[in-house]
Amino acid sequence: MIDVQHLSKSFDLNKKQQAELGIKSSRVHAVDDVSFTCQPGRIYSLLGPNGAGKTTTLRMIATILRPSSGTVKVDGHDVVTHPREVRAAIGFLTGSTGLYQRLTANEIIEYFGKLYQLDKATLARRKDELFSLLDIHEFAGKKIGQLSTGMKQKVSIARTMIHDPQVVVFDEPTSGLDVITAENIIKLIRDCKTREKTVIFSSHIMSEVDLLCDDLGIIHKGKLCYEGTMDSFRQQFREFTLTEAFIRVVNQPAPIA
Amino acid sequence: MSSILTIVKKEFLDTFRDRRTLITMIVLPLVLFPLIFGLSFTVQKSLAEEAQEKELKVGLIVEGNQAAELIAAVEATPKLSLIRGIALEDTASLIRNDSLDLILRIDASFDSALVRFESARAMIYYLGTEDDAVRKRLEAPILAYEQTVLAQRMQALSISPATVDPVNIDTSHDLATTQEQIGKLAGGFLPYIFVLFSFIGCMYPAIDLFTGEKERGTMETLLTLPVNRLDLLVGKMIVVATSGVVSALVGIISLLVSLQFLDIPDMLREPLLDMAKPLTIGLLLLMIIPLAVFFAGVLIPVATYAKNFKEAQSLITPLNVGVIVPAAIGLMPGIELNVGTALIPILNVALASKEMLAGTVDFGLLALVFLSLIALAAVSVVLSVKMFGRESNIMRA
Repeated sequence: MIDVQHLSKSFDLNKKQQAELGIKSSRVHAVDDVSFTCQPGRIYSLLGPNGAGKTTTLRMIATILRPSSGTVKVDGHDVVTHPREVRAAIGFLTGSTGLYQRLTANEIIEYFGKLYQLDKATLARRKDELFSLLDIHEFAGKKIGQLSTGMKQKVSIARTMIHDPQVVVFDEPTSGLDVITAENIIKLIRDCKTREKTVIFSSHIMSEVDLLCDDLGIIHKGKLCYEGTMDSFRQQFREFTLTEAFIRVVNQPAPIA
Repeated sequence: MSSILTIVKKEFLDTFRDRRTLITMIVLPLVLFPLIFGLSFTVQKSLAEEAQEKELKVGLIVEGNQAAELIAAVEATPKLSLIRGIALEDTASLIRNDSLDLILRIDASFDSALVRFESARAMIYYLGTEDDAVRKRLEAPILAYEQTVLAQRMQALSISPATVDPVNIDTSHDLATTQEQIGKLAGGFLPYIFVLFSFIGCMYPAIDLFTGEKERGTMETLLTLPVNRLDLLVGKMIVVATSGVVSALVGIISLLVSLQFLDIPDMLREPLLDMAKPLTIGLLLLMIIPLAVFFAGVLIPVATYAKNFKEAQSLITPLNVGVIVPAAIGLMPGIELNVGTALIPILNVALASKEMLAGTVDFGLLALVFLSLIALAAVSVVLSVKMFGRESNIMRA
């Protein structure tokens, strides 16, 4: 369960960054008073155009960034006061996540398992399960640098799930992947749902959202401009295609509840 | 604590699989000394031998039968042939195009000056870019001839040798031991190399372990682990600093091995080996540890800030100057370890090792060097912690 209340994040910009981004003020509000909750066993999708604040929001949930104001609770633990507990409960994966090129899949999974404080027996069992599930065994001893994109993606998934997290955060998980490789991620997200985990993922692709999500939040310019279940969204915008509906929500002046 | 250990182990494994890091950290310091010693001594030796051994062609410009005795003495010199009948206007071209090595020109009034007890002139034309030894081979018989003439004149005038040497300065009482002399010379040069090695040894691991995490897209993942950021930093810092120490250590080993097995003049080898006492080497290494921590502490904030390998390298390259300049100042004679210089980082290491190698170190000052290095290392660690904790650095991409 993820509970986000009045979450805001602003960044200070120096002169150079202001010039680069074409912004006059020295502060930008990347996320502005955002509230939503994600329930276990349901898939929450954060949809928004590039630069809307999706990544910043997810990074605050994953304790990578500190909120400027507002609270985030992950399974009851506050991200600011109890980051360790939050991190132990979360699995985090992005489309641009890399792996250590010179290590093998085995070594990477063991490294992360140890840092997640798994005991030896649990680590060995989880690793074996995941490697079987994802067909990693046959290339487990090869260095990551020698693997294909699809193989790397599988290792990344195993890395994300090694500590059996109750909450899974995916930041544009399929970006840059081909359809076949992206399918691994889709399967993973569905699998997390059936196992009653809390799943949140961000995307700017409506079709992907349509395929997976139960609850939808549309974010634009740092503000949440739509929140509701996917079913009610479909109902409300019956006469449009989903992509058209998405564009309408983003372009309208006032938020729709 | 166990997290730090896990991180250290993984980073060492990763570092030792990186060819670029291995080359700068191990291979470079390993081969540099044999290369420097091997090349410089072999080349120097063969050049010196050539200057001594080759047959010299000396052109002679003389009018009539002037300076017959002198010319006979020159002609009798081994491996030197006199070529007569050279025209004065050809001197420059003959020497420049290597037809002749030297030209000896006897003044027209040579004999008459000798008779009048005046200075008789003999001129040598040579190329100043060649080895001095060539010219000296021609000068030697002339100087010997001068001595005989001088002895004859003094006898004729009844002057004793003591009369023309009223004050005798005797410089044969040098109290400095060979170790001290060579220590002052080599002692400045060696730490210069170790300081550089330890910096270069830290450099690539720092870039790889910090900037590399960003470039590979593993930084985010790392930060979502239930590990304190301080533990992450400490684990990585241990690896970076150790790499610097290993690099310097390999340099020292390579130096000792080269001294033992390469063809190095004994007058240099023995005092150098003599200096390499276990205590000296031990103290040197002990000094390199806080120095390497300091280097790691300077490099890590830069590597944390940099977006990619290229940027990290361009930011770090100017830092090299900051390492080379104080180390080079330590090479200069006359700069000594005192309360002031003991506090200047890098320079203090160069000076302290110079004194240690010469066997003249003041242990009070050495302690001061250690203290200032440790204080500086601590400051740089705090700086690293701050920079690593800053969101804007970690997420700068």
